[in-house]
Amino acid sequence: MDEVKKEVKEIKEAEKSKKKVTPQEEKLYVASQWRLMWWRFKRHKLAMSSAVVLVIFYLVAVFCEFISPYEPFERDLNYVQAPPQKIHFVDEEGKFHFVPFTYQTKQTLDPETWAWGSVEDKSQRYTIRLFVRGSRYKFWNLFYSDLHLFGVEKGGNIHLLGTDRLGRDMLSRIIYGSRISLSIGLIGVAFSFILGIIFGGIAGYYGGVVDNVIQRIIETLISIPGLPLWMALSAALPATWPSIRVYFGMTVIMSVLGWTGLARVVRGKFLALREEDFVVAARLCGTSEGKIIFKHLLPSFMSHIIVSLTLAVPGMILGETTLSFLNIGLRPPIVSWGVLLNGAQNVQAVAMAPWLLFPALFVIIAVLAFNFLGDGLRDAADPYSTNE
Amino acid sequence: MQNLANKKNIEPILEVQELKKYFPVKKGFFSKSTGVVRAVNDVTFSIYQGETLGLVGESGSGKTTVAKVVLRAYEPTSGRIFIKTAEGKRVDMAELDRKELKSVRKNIQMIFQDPYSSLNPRMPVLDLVAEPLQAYGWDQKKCVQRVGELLSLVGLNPRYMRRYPHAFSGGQRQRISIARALALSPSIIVADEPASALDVSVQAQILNLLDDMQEKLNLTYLFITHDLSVVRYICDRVAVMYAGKLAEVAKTEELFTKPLHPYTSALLSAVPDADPHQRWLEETVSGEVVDLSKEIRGCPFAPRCKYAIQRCHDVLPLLENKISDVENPHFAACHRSNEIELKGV
Repeated sequence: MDEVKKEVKEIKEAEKSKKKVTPQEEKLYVASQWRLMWWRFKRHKLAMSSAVVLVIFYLVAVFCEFISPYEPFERDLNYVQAPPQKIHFVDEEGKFHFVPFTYQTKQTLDPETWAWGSVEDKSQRYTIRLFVRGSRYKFWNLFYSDLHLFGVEKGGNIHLLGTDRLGRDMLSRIIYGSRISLSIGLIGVAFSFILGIIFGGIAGYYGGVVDNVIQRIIETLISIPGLPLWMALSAALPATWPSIRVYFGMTVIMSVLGWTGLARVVRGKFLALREEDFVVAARLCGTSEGKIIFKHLLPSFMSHIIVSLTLAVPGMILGETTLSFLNIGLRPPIVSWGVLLNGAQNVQAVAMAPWLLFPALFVIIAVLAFNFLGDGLRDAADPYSTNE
Repeated sequence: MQNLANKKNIEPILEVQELKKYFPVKKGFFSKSTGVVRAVNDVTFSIYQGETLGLVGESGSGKTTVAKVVLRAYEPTSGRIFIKTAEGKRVDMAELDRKELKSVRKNIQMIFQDPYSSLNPRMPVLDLVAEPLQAYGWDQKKCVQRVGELLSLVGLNPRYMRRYPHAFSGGQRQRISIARALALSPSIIVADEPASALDVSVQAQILNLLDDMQEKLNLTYLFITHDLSVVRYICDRVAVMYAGKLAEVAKTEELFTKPLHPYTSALLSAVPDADPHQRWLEETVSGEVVDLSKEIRGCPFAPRCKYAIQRCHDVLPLLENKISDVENPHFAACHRSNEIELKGV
């Protein structure tokens, strides 16, 4: 013991004589995997901004009743298939106003071409305000309110992205649709995550015959052409089902087809990690299999799983949009981006009212943001890789 | 410790008998087993308390497989692994079930070659070194204290126990591995090329540390390496392995000066020498190691051996004591060891 003490003293002295470790270095030395990942992720500007965009999108989806200026089924008969309304800062006399305002518009019919047009009635300004009282809604199905994030003074209208052929506000419908379209991605991915982890984990951990069977099932599943299978499955959903049940049915369909990729990732990671030196070392010093799985294997590939999940969400969102667009997914009265795009199905509608395509823009932004986020996460996922 | 091995009243602490490890070769869609690779084929050796047995051989000769089979990281195909436990019992590790194995494994621990892959980067040093302790039910407070002791024992500051492996250099990481291997106070350490992944400047430090630990804690080493200069420095006895079989086993100096197997002699002459006048490629061998998935009748080294006669190709030579000294035997598996004159260094 004395010798040990002597040695400790020597080491301490040697330490003192060396240059001191700076606080930043010490912070790095005691940083866990997640902290290292975060530091790395922060440097990825595109992914960071995508994350911000997605957070905003999901906040909007969560508080859609409050944020949308109108109700999704509220019809404005004076504004049928009306183009996006302009926001003005400068009035007719050329006076500048700090608070933007809108004018009422009137629809006109060109007697020669029979095309609809609109003319702004500039006699009355309607100021845009925050936190205005508007149409009544039930927030989260819990309580009634009529407070909206923004709107115009009484008597005016605000259709920033135009209206559809029944006179419903596109922006409000897109905001309400985001709730369905964005959540179907997350819930669908959550289901596939559970299926993928279970099947992939079993295949990778036990190997042999079990692995072979699961691999063949996956190969069969991914060899079936996607669209016909989707159609068959959604045709199997009874038309009499209430919309919420159809929604869950769709989610399950998407995830039943979506778990295969994730299962393969999990299996591959299990197979690779099972033979890692540190896992063998843990086994040799008596650690139980359960502990090895939860303390060594899972933490080692959790980051990769998160990446795969992030990259799987856009597939789900696009799947919902495609199916609903083709009339085999969600149906009105559910409002989703796919259902909205369904209204822009014929060329005439698109030519006359191109603003009906706005939902597609939101789909594109959401999908791109998820892909960029996934990219950034993938770069940060393995903080111990040597290629910086 | 020099003569410990010779005293007849001392039982070996580890005794490996006729150990075999065959890996199945799988091919095709249904993973049909089409043959086996004889990675370890009939290996017998023993190690005595306090000694260091070096196991040398080229890549693919089965050294690491021997280590892993001895620890039951791989299941042996056949053979016996007798170990003397701390309680003085002699048990055959090859036939223990999981639970019994766990209680015996306290006595034998392993140091891995690569300190970068053998320490989980996601765990702080405290958890890494305490992992064996926790597996045997130590509570957290005792663990922290023990880890502190172990870290200072291997020359690391106990203050660093909250740091993660990425904060340490290769040499420091290998010290952590050593601390971890020592955590349960084992009597035998299997060291699988513990220094070969490190910078040359650090290698000596790690070897010295292992040497110190052996003296302090009365450890027994099975030391696997391909570096003959390391062998001469640290080992009491050496076993030379070729193609899954032992070619020669002898005391280090004896083996280096009077090799009895042509393969050993070739290995020795392959060590680079600073002497510009020495032609060091004299004894090197040409050709490839035999295909371990094929059945070999004769000596596995015969196809590359320049002394081989017909008998070498037909009859497998046994590992026998070739000298009259029974106390310090010199085993070699060669038909012609008495007829040919081999050069040592």
